[in-house]
Order: sequence, then structure tokens, then C-alpha cells
Amino acid sequence: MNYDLNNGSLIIKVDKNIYSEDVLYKCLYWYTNKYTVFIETKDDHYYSVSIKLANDLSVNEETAKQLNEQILRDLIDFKLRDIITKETQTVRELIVAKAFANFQIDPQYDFDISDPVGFNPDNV
Amino acid sequence: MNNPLKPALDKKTRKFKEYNSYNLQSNNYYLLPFRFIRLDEQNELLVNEVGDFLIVSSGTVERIVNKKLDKISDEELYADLIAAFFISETPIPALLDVISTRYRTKKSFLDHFTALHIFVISLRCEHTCHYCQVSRVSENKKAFDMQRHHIDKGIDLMMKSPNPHITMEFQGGEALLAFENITYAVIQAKEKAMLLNKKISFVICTNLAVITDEMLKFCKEHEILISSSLDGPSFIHNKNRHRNGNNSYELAVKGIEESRQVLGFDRVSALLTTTNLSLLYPHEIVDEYYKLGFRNIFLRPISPYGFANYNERKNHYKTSEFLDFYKKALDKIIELNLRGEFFREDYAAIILRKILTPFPVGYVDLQSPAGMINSVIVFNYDGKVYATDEARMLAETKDYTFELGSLDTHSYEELFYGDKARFFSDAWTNESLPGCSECALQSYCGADPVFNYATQGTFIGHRPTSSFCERNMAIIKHLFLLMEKDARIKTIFRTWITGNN
Ligand code: SF4
Repeated sequence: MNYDLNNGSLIIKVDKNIYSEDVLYKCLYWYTNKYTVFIETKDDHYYSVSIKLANDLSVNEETAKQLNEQILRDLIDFKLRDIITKETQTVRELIVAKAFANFQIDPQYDFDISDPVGFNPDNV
Repeated sequence: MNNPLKPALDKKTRKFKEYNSYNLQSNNYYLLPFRFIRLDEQNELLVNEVGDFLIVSSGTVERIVNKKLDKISDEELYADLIAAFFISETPIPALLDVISTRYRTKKSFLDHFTALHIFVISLRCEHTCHYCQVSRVSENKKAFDMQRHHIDKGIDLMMKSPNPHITMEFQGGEALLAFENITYAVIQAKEKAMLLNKKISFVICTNLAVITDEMLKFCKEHEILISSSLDGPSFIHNKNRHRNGNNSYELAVKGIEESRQVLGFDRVSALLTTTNLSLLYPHEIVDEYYKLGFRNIFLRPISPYGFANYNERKNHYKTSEFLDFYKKALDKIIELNLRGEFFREDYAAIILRKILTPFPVGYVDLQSPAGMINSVIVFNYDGKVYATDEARMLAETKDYTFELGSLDTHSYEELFYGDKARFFSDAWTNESLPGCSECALQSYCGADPVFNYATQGTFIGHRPTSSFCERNMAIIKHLFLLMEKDARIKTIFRTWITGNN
């Protein structure tokens, strides 16, 4: 990913066709501990992201390079997470719905349970 | 000749299929819900919806998600992913019901609702610990002890809990300064529990400085557990816990010994409060617990609430310093275990139980939905009801955000299911919190709106700057890496959750 350094801010262009707004926000959220992040829609194809140190110090060339690499790696991870979340949404909803549907309290047995091979379920 | 035994030997189990019975021809598999995180440069951790995990080499998630797995060359990984519910060969997995049941089991701590009922029996104390959030040095019982009608009402509410096994915990100040109130409360509660066929356990939290033989006799008779405080060797403990005579440590050790003699060794526990001073002495603190015969220690960070905030210099150490302390102490504990001594760190044990077993853990600070109200409630000395112990500490700094109502004026339904409780519920599941919702450690971690509010000003909180998040993420990852790097440590960790040496 190409980047610019402008007035102490790291500026990156993120391709909208590759990374959705969800992915971009979820990824950059984790940078808001140290950085102030601005996201702008530049045109139909790109977001422009400007990243500044939160305490108004300038981002130097070295940090900019590392930051750019790390953001790229994180964007890929968050894109993978997004694919999993979206692709599995129905199954997740089914799991949770089934888990709490038709609730019936398990019968409480009034004796110690044990297993012939000596595995005691109470200890697990 | 037909071998009559053959059919029996050939019989397939119902649960397990031969590898070949899976479709080996196509690369069509479906993802099941799971989350992942990078543990380090080499390893990725995958955790599915029910908390099962796999550690794989970096880059594997990308291959799984982009459907690049090859069933032949990735045979082992593919089989692991299928068996542990990370992928499925059908859009809806055949064992969906099994996954749902597992999910339900993980959340079964919700089945019975509030178990822990904290009664702040007196705010009076004879210590003036510098980190203490709440206590008062005062003789004024009327102002700072819980009144009998509040005790009665608190017990009535406690009996309304749907939970068949409730715990009544007496806290202070120094709870034993109001011992006559404890005896009254225990006898009342026991009678009512018997009528309703509920099991009830009692705990007294005390620094043990004022414990007497008569008190111990009562504790023995009513099977009351003692939860004491021990901050480490005397030079740490006495510095943290001021009292006239500078002998808090000596009294605590004497109290622990006497209590063990009367009540039994396992009926007396100790809680550590970590301060700036403690951070310098991880090994000495572990050694002290070991020397006194304890076989566990709970390495807790200091609470960020209430009065503790006022003593900036002493208590505002950074999370990273706590983590450093934690890891050093844990190394020491593991070293003891490697020498064949059983010794457990309780915070790790709670997390490990979540990682290594299908069962939930009833620990209020690490739950989703959060422990507040769902698992714990606090009846304060003045009759006010709070959502957690930390919430009442916040109230001592005049912040009443988490006050649910009063024992004088509110019903059970208003307190436990009222508008305030519902309002908090928006922020009490980490499944729906920003940052947590896609975090791989979600099922081992928890949600804590009170902590978020106290430290960051909102119930939802901000994960990238949250010390709760930083601490839990670091500790959980550390535990995984320890197990991954040394199989002996994994075995030790298993003994911590089974209790079997
Ligand atoms: S608090 Fe942090 S570690 Fe815990 S689930 Fe949320 S994001 Fe993950």
C-alpha cells in the first residue's frame, strides 16, 4: 500500500473495492489508543485515511513505514474476520437460538456419578 | 468360512466416521463461526463459538477462509477443523444440536441467576489501609453498621433468588466489628433457607485482627468460611495495611493459624491486594504464601475504584507493570510445580478452566453476560442496593450510577429486573461490544460495564485504551504460549483445574 507523509500525518489510500467500510473501521479502531484517525471518502474508488499521533507529535518516516505495513496486515486480518462473520451469520444465529429454545431444566440426580474407568466428571 | 466375530469387529461406531467417508473430491467446505488472533509471529489461535481452540501456523486462517485447504495434503488439519467445528461439509452442520448444547453449557451460569449476596455489615474498620476505598475509623455503630431491618429485608430478597445454592458474604469495613449482626444474620438466613429447601454458604471477609475464640466457635458451628487478606511478607503487608501498632501482618498470620486449627485447613483463604510496592516483589509474595501453607494465590490487580484513585502515586501503576509482575510470579509458581509441588494461581486457573473444559466458571469479573446482578448483588450498610462490590465503592465517591434502589423502598422485581438493570444489559455481553465482538479471546474473557464506566466514563468502554482488555488479552495469550511451548506446563495447568496432583 502506498503512503504519504503530510504535515506529520501518515496518509494512506484504501481501495473500496477491496476493503469495505466495516473492515476499515474495525481495523483502525485498534489504532485509536495512540493515534487520531480521520477517514474520508475521496472518490468512488478510495478512502483516504489520515493518521496522526494522538499527542500532536509528528509521525516520522520510520514510524510511517512500520505503521503502513502493520495496517496493511491488520486490514487483511479484519477482512478475513469479516468474511467469517458474514458467511457464518446464519449458523451462529441458529446455534444461539437452538441453545436457548425449549428450555428444560436438566433433572437433578441425587447420587454420585462416576465412570467405570475412574474418570470423575465432577473433577473436570 | 465366515468368521462369526467379523460383523462385530467391523461394526462402525455411530460417532466417528472413517476419514474416507468424507467427500474427498471437492474443495467445497463451509465455514463455521470462529474467531482468530495472532499469538506471535509463528502462531495463530483459532477459537470457535463454544470456546474450543486450535493453534496453527501463521497464514493458515487465510487459507481456510479463502477455501484453499487441500483435503489430501492438509489431511490432518482438515480433519481437526471438521472435528472441532471450525468448518463443515454441509451448509448447516449435521451436529448443530451438539454445538448448541455445548453453547448452552458454556452459558449455564445464567440458569440459576444471582448466587452471591454481599452484605456490607459494617463500614467501620480499625485499619487505615492506603488503598482502601470505603472504610471508616469510627465508633458510630448507628451510622456505619447495617441496621437489623435492612438485614431482614436483604435476607428476604436473597431467598427470592431462583438459585437453589446461595452464598451470603459479609464484608466491611471490618465485618467482625459488627459480629453480633453477623450472628443474627446467619441464624435468620439459615432458618429461612431451610424452610425453602435452599443450600446456603456463608463467608466472612476479614483482616482477622479482631477475631476471637468465641467468633471462631460460631464460625465452626455454622460452617462459615473465612476469607482473609494477606499482601505478602510483613514489610509489604504492614506497609499496605496501616493500623495502630503496625502489626497487621502478625495478627493476620496468627488469625490464619488459629482459624485453620478450629475450622480446618481448607476453610481459610487469603486474598492478595497488589500495590505499587508489591510489584517489586513477585517472588517474595509467592514464597510467603507457600511458606504459610497456602497452595494457591490469586494475583489480583488493584481496583481502580473509589478511594484508590485518590492515591495516584501509590496505586496508579501501569497495566504493563502489573503484567510484568504477574508473569514473574507465574514463572515462580510454575517452577514450584515443576519441582513436584502443587501450587495454583487462581486467575490463570479460572481462564484455563474456560479454555480446557466445556464448563462455565462462576467468576463474576470474567463473565458474559457480566456478573453484575446476574451472579452478584450488594446490600450496602445503609440499605442501598448495588450491582457489584465495585459499584458500591464508586458510590463512596458520590457516584451513584450503579445504585439499583433501596432495601426500604424497592421490591425484588424492581431491583433485579428494573429499568436500571435493563439499561446496563445493553453493555454487559462482550459478544456485542466494539472490539470484543470479533476478538478470539471472547469466550475466555468477560464484560464489565462498571469497570468501563469507572475507568473510561462509559458503560461500553473503549477497548484499545482499556486496562481490562490489555490485561486479559496479555494474560490469556501468555497462557496459550506457555502451553504451546512446554507440554509439561500444559500438564501442570490441567492439575490446576482438576485439583488432582
Ligand atoms: S476485553 Fe479485550 S481481550 Fe477481552 S474479549 Fe474484549 S477485546 Fe478480547
